[in-house]
Amino acid sequence: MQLHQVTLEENRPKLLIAPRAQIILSFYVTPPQVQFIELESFFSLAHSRIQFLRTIEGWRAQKFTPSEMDVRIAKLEAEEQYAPLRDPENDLISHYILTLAYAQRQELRNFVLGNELALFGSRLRRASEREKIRFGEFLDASGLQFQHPDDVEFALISTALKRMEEIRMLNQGRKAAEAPPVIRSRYYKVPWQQCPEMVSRRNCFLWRGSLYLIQEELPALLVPIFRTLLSRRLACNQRALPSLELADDRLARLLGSLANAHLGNDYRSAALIQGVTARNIDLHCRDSFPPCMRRMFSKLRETHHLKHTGRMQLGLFLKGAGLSLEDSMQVWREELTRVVGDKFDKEYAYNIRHNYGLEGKRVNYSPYSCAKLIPTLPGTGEYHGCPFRYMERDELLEFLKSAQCGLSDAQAHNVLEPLFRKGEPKHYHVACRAFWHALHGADPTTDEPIVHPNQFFELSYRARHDKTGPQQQQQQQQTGGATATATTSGDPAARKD
Amino acid sequence: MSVPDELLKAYYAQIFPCDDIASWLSHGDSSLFYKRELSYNKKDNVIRYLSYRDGPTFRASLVSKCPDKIDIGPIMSHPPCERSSVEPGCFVDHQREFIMDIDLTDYNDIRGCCKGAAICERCWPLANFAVTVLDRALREDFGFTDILWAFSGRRGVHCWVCDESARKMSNDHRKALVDYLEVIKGSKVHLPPVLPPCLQRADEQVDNFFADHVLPVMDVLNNPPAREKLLSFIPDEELRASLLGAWTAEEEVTTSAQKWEQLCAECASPSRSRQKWTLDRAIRDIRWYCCYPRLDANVSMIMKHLLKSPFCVHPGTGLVSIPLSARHINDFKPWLATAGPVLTSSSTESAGSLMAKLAKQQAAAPAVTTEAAQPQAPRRVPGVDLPWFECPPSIWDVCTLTVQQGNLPPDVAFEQTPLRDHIRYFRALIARFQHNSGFHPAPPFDNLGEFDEAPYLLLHPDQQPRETVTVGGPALPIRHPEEEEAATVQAATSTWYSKEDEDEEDEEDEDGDGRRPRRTSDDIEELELARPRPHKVKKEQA
Repeated sequence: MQLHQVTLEENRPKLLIAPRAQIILSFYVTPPQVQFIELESFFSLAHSRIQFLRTIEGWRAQKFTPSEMDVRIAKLEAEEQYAPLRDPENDLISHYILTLAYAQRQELRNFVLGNELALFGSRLRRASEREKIRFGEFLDASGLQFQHPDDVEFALISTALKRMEEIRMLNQGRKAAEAPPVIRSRYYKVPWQQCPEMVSRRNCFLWRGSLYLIQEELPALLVPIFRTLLSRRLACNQRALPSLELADDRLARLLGSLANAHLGNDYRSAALIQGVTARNIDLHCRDSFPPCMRRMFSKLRETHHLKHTGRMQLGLFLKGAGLSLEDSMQVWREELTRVVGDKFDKEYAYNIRHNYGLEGKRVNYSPYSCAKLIPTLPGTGEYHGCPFRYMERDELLEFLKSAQCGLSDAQAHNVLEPLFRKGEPKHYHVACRAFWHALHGADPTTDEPIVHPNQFFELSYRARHDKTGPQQQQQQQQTGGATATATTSGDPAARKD
Repeated sequence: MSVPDELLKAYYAQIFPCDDIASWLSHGDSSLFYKRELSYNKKDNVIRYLSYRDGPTFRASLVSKCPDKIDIGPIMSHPPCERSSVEPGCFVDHQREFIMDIDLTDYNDIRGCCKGAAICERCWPLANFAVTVLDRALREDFGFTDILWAFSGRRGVHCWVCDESARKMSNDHRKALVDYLEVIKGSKVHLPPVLPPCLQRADEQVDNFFADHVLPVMDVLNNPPAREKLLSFIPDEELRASLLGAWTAEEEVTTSAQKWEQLCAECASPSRSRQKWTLDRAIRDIRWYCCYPRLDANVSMIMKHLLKSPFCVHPGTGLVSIPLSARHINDFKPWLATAGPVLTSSSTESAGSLMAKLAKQQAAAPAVTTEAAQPQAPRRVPGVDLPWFECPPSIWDVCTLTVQQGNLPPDVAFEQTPLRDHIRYFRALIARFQHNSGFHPAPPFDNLGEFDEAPYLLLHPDQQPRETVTVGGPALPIRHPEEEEAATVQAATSTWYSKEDEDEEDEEDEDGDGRRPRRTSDDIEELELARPRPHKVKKEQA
């Protein structure tokens, strides 16, 4: 890869911490230098990082501006649960685990790449803002080496560089004459491939394949370099994984379980919630279903039929919500036989078993996520998709106030208000979250964005059923763990005594 | 008009430079040619994912399948012909020359002379100008050296940038490069208020071309649709209306140059001093809109896009898609080319039944261009009566002799045809590319002795006499990339040279700036010009 070659020196520290701001900036070039790591911390670090990145992903989906992102990410980093990640070593370890575990599949690689990049960019912006790090130092520390142009070429291009300076001044609304003098040591010469963005904007002098950057522009260069390095490493890891599997399948299994943990929220199997049955399903619908499923389920009850896409969407959701195959059969049979009669056993039953992975390809299909639902638009007589997307304002108001959802007028207006603000992009999941708040009161433990109907259901179910809430649950676990350790530590003590 | 199969078969069997194409597309690594996707067109049928091990097998397939058109795709991860045995996700594109496609139909709103596929001496120079501008940008800004320009066969030119760094660009890089080069997008001119040096350089070129060609020859302002389009760039409603009225009234009375002067004078008049800033930009936009290259951006941005092979015969015109020399691009006049069988007394007699067939077709075969072709003028065959770089020969020109002489081996046959110099130029270019990428220590020109006799042939646009070029402001001497290169790779090259570098007497320290003396004597240099020139060497750091 001569193209993206970034010279990295082996023996230098690959890490720079802006000391006052406590911001970790690293290209993660050297693997972590730990002799061993406990399984527990291996997992907890990985999970923290996944959680962290997932939160960032939610924000990215909401298209916050860089400065908004910076504020949020800074807040997130300060949170107690992410305290371990503030240690540079742990930061490095967790990053490494993720790049290894998430290398296997394209969507996971994109997840790591996109969010790590957002994190790095934010850290870089904050570090350069607050610390005014001197980039010479930074570059040294990161092991990147950029050359200054040599005298001969500099003499040739100084006129052009001068002009670029003047244009820069004019763009800042100042006079061209204010442009600083062109000094060789202020410039760095970089292959253009390292920063394609600058080439396409033509705001930097390009000559014979090299960009001539001034110091202040270097941060813009670091982000693409970070991307290049990371995507290359992910690609390497992807290729390396099969051989790892051969060498030690225990580690491969660990990593696989991490990768599945991310997809764990694909709600393929519903171990988390129990007690959803054919008998109480209406109750659950009233209490905890997201708007899309409410609409479809009530339509099913009303018309005793749903078209294919609707049946898929609702059926898989119900599976994810914990409805067993038998109960699912019962629910669907109850409704559908009224319309289609005998056809149910011939055709529809097969589809339901198919959804549960018992027919055909025998794949345990995962329920549709919001990302998959939102783009689908229902035709006439169809009710699948995301109501916040396909319904008009008045229609939505009516829907929210109807018995299906049961919101008050004020609540319904509250939910819809941000969605229909003029000139702003529509965030359907924000509306969905607002709906959740309307159901459960505005006291969310996390502001985790809703990206999956089953996630909505699970959060709602939890909020309703363990009134104690997830925090207390955690506490319970912790106290449980504490007593366990107490007994184990107590035992030897007792023996000693 | 379609090209008869017999003729194509003869062309593929004896003349089409399969070996050279294979050697070019393998870029020094012969295994790469097998991984290269080729695609044939045969009467609206497209056969994709073909690949061949080497030149001879390529030729055999050409002769048996006899395609109307040959397209070249990217170098894939696996040989495309074996792709069914590869897992679908693993069959991906690995390398691709950076390609560009310029098509005169993209200029339709300012060329009033021709429609569709037709070209003439008024509109074709736009394509030549595009070559001039882009070639310079690719060399000076991006530092590419291995650039092949080719006539597309009808109404456009293709560009192949073959440098290793260009081939290995990702789609992101390609997009960035296109963004950098592209100014005219969707009939709008996207220029910043103050031009950076790269655009300043192009602005000068645009200025000259506008004054030398667009106004006097194309006469754009006497072409009503173009005139209206161009005037729409002027933001001042009243000025626009008054000019349009005046110009429509004196249609053909005043020349475009006079009209342009009038426009400039109006814009500069003191009464409009307030708008001067915007009017100046409008004038600049009009000039750029008339001249600046219009690219088909999609072709360049995606690696897997197919592009027609050089030396392919255009199925519509019968003209051979010849390589072009950027240095001589202003002499390239494809509108002079005529298609159709050549009938001289000797050929009709000796060529037997095939030529009789061809003769029948002549009636059905019109000239490529209707306006410029002069049927009365004595026919001049490009590459024989005309310098090779002036005009593309048609397959009838090329094949007549071959047909007469029967089956000659491919290495010899082309020497007898008007394509002789084109193929030699192509060979020299490939050798240069491979030399640049360090594959061949010295270009292996075996039969260049007579080639050298052609005084008009130059191997590379880089070899023009040194000129001074402006890089944003006052004139600066521009050094050749090779020269810089030679300076920077001094130490590294010593081992490389040690084997055959006995010609000490050639070394000289021309620049006197302490750089390492450069090796100057080389086959290629001797042939090209009788002056020492530097020598690009691949960095060979271990």
